[in-house]
Amino acid sequence: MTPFEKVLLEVADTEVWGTIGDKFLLANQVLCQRSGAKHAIVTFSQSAALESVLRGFNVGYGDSVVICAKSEEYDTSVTLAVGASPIYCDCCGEDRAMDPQKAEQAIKENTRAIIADIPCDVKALSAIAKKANIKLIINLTDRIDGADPSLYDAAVVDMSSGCAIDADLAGAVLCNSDDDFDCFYAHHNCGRPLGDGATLDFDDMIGGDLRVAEWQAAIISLMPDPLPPSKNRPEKRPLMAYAPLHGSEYVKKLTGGYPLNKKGDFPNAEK
Amino acid sequence: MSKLAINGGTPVLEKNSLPWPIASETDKKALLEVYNAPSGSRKQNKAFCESFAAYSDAKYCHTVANGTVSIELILRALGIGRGDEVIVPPYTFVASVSAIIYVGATPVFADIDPETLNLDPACAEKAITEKTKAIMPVFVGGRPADVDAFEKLCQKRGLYLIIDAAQAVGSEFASKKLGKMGVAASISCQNTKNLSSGEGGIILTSDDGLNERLSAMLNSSPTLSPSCIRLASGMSEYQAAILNSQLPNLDAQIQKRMENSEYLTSLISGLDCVRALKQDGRITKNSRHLYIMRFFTKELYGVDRDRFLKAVRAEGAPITPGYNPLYTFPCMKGAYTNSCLEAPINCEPDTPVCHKIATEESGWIYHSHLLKSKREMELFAEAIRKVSENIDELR
Repeated sequence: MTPFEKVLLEVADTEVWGTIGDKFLLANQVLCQRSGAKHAIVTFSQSAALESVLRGFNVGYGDSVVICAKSEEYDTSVTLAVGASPIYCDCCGEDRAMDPQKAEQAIKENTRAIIADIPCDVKALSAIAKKANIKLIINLTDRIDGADPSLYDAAVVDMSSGCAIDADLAGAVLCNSDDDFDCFYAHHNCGRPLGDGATLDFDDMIGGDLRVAEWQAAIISLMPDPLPPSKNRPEKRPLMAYAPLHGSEYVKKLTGGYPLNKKGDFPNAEK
Repeated sequence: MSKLAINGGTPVLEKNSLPWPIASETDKKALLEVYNAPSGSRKQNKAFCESFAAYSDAKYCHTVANGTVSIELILRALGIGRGDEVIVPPYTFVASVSAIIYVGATPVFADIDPETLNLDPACAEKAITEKTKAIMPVFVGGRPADVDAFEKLCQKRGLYLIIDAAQAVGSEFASKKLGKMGVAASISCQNTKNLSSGEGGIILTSDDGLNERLSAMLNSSPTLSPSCIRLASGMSEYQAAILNSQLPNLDAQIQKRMENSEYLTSLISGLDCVRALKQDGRITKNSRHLYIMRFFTKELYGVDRDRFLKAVRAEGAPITPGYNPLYTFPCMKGAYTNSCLEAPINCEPDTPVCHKIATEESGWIYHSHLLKSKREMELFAEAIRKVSENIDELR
């Protein structure tokens, strides 16, 4: 029996298959050790991780987020789901990374964050975000070691099937700030802070449920060292800037509406 | 010499909990099967959706991350968001309301029926405004709300009826299963639930249009040009495998819980200080996630419910007070909540019944204790009797 099979059976024999079990806590520790970030929270998916970050940063209705025109779908969909508006910027280079100059030009008065997928110039984006007093969120895709944690305010990771760490369906948040961690954590666990157990009484934080089950956490807690290469994580960077969803009535309702882009706005992303 | 255990006397029964959830060898085999399956397989989810749709008499079934997300997805798929209102009872877990807040809609609290602890249709009707888009009764403890009344009301007023059946997997109203109630039902498979995968949620619907939108939102296939908000909110194969393995046991467990509940009701019927919820012949199946009672110790003895139940628990009977009304939580008027909504939540709603029952009367026994022997039910009733007969020790 492999260690992964043993740990799954170990979880089955406890009475804790979810809602903050030992494997969840262990998986967070392992993610911290391997990424260099101070805090980690495993969530049920990458989009859930991004949601806890955006809500934890208080990004919502009336705010905007700078996203690359060619980017992972969830960067856009989660931004919309929390009620914020995406502002797109062009990419550059062969790897179609977010163009830092274009990102800086895209920042408006109501911009609260930049979401950038690796590969990208994290150092340049970090300087831009600091100058504009906004948050830098890095989408590490499935590489928890894909960026220096001191350069980002938060990062999200994909650990679903086909990823370097394949837990079938899971994600994670990485961050360094204690205060930010408390906010992300509460948003992920019904508003409860770490250590509060499964209380039915709630204080001043509202939260959703972005928790991972112990099965996935157990798999993640045994992640190999060094991290294996991505198996067959598909290329996930569509041209989001022109996606039809931007014109939908529901998106207008959630966000209050925002200017739509048209073909030709982002020549590098269209190449 | 004290008779009550809380004062040093001998308890009626030894505290013992039945482990929950319980993993069988079949469950374990199912987990290993997933681990060894090709990456990206959705076989377990597909199989569970088919079985559970059939079990629940639903046309469609979607497995999702949890019961909170399932409500959010239903709301989003119905186009409910900022500026809209959803009527909901305040006697429920916070997730019923956080899901509404998270899509930007405003929850509106309406009072509960004292005989059922579920949303009162007449009170829900009074709460309807021009912004109301849906009514969402919660099947508290597994007990179905008055589905007939809500369906009539929603049809009359052009509203969606969403069933929060987080605690009610397997429940039926007038022989109608969850898959045929309202526009959709949401179920939770969280660790404490009667059908558990640790975390997990299920959406049931027989509405073709809603199903199409849900499918689009949950479709994880890469697409160049999405036309709707898509979120990675599905359920892992590990969770689905456990549910597949556990589903065959569900009805037998529900049956045992119902039998023990009926027995317990007969045992406490002779006690003045406590009353079971009113029977309703239209409830053909009650999953009994909770056995809920009302305690009148304050009126009868001048001893508040919490103190009384503490003494009962000291005797070994696992009875807890239950929910506090949601509008009493600071998060309902917190800065983040208000930032999500067009209008703040009314945290002083006209819900005197909920307030009294939640703060003074309700008492719960969790479902795992209802799988114990009849003798244990007798001892639970005996613990209540003993405390009431020695009430002077608590004054």
